[in-house]
Amino acid sequence: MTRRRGLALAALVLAAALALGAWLARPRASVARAPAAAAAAAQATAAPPELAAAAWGASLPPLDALPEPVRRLLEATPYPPSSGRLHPGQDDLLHPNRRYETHRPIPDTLSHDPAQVVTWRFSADRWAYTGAEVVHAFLEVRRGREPIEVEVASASAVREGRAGAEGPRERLDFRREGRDLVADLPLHLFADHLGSILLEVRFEYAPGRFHADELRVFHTPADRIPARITGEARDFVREGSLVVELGVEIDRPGFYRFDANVYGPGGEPVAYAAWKGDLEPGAQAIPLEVYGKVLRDAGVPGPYTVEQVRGYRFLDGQYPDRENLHDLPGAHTTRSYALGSFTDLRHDSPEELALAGMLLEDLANGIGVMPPPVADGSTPEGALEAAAPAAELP
Amino acid sequence: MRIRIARIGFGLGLGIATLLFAGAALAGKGGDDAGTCVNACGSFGGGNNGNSCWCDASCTTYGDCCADYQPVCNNATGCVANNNRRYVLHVGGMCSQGWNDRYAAASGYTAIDVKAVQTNHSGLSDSSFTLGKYLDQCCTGSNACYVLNYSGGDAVMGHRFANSATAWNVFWVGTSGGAGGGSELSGNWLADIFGPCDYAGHLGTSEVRNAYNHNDTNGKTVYHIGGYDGWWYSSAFLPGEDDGAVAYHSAGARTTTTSTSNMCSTPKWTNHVAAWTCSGYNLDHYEMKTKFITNMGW
Repeated sequence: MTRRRGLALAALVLAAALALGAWLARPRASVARAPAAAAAAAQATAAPPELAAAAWGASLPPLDALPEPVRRLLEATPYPPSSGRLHPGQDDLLHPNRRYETHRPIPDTLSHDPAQVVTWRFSADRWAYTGAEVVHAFLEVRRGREPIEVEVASASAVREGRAGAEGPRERLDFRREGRDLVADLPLHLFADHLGSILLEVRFEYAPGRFHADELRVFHTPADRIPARITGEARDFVREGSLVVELGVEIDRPGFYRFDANVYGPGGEPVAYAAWKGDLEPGAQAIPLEVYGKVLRDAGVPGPYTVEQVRGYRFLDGQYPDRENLHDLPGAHTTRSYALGSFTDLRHDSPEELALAGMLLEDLANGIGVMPPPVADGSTPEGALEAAAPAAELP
Repeated sequence: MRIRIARIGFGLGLGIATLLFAGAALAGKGGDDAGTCVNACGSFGGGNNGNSCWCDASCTTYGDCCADYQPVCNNATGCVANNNRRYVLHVGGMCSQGWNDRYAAASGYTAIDVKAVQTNHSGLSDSSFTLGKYLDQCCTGSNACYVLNYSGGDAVMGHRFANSATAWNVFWVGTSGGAGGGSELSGNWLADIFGPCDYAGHLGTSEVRNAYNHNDTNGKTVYHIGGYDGWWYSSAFLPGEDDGAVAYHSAGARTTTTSTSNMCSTPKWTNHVAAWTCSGYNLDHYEMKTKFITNMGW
């Protein structure tokens, strides 16, 4: 350990001891009473959320008074895990179920002259399919930047289980569209199969020169869809956060996860929200909660549009590990909400506060750990469209 | 005499196959093709069980247990539940069933090698299930943890976070050479050459990025470091900087697969950040494995 590091740790321990004393001497009920205070604020809908916010914050010393590891623990995650800001760059959320294949070079053609390198891209319109949908697969091959025509030597689709490919191979017929090759795979052929389907293609890109690739898609057959998002929804403010209750009809009990995106009146991305937990069969209401500070930080007042609602039943320890639902077609538009309806306080759950307390004790005991330094240019909140990449390649 | 195929754990399975002849008394079946006890307790190991490992009570006597036998079948993780303990969990990569390397030696903490097998087609779901057992035992009640991931362990941790409602006592997560964004090497001839591990074909960018919601980290901060000492072939396949197995879009937790030479470049998944340096390290994927540990001074 370097001297500098030792001094820093010693200072931390001292600070920890001071902060720990102050923190542990607080009324123990303060953390536990936070939900009650929040609930009271929710019941009195006219009460400014700041009142509830003040009650939530009263249990913890100011962040600046806390040792750095504890401060960073609390500061880094200002929102609950179930909601956050949605930015224009968040492709994964803005375009759920999208694919990421790009052109890759055929190794035999690698050359110092980029114009001679043959690249291929074998992909499809999306990753997961639910029910008797059709996979639209395509094959693009280029030499340099120019598309070239290739011949498909063989192509098929096969079920994939825990041990690999299983069952008969279904023929995959490619047809030419322009210079690309496309193939449609009707999934009624796989109505008995939950899980991955492997699409395989072998093509001739030059006389006597072949290349093969495979593509995986995920299929939930109609009789394995475990629940239905009904389209019924209502919205309200609770404890300074926007809650959108979505109706679902559960056929099979289990652990479910639901995700949705929230857009502003102008269609701008604002927030994402998720819910996960156990559900019993029957009609259920899923409370998708957008934490108030997320909306305050976005600075976009309602009405909001909740769309791209998707969900699955998680099959822990099984393969495949999920049964997908059909996405909610369309969207739900909320009532108008002023930003002042929402809390502007950082979110600290009782679990998070308890963890901070454990870290304080660790620091006092000499085993606390300073978290890694965040590299310059990175942001704790994650995706921020304003932060320009320092050295982006074309 | 049994033939044992072992492969040096290169995380993404980019290992060198060696044939080792070993007797039946060898403890555990450490080869990369070994099976898993997930859904197989009491019988022959499941999945890609090329090494004939077992998940029955006799396997400890014969020394042919699958690597994840103890946590999966006996709920034995090496942690003492709810006992005011502190742990550093090491979640290794694909084709290496455990960390099998240098552990963190942090004062007051016990290092735990998470035996989450990622060698089969079901690698992610199996290993995530197994990791859940560790988290439930090591990181709840009065216990607390740090988690260090390497390569495919990034995806395993993310999958578990996204598919559990438990608020584990995890202070933060550190990830070296994370494969949570997938690798363009997966599923092509390179994976076939370097890692005849069935899971090699399941780390493609589309599959991993759609496998779970990367923005749900259970409220924990995930710190990422990446390497840029790519191997001879990798720049042809992996966009931007890479360590020979994963590009910075994955190691740097970006929401897209576009090319970048900057670990700090955004947009990133929520609660994921680059640590120490935006430029990364002049290390290859294998060398990245212990970099987080050494950076921490552990």
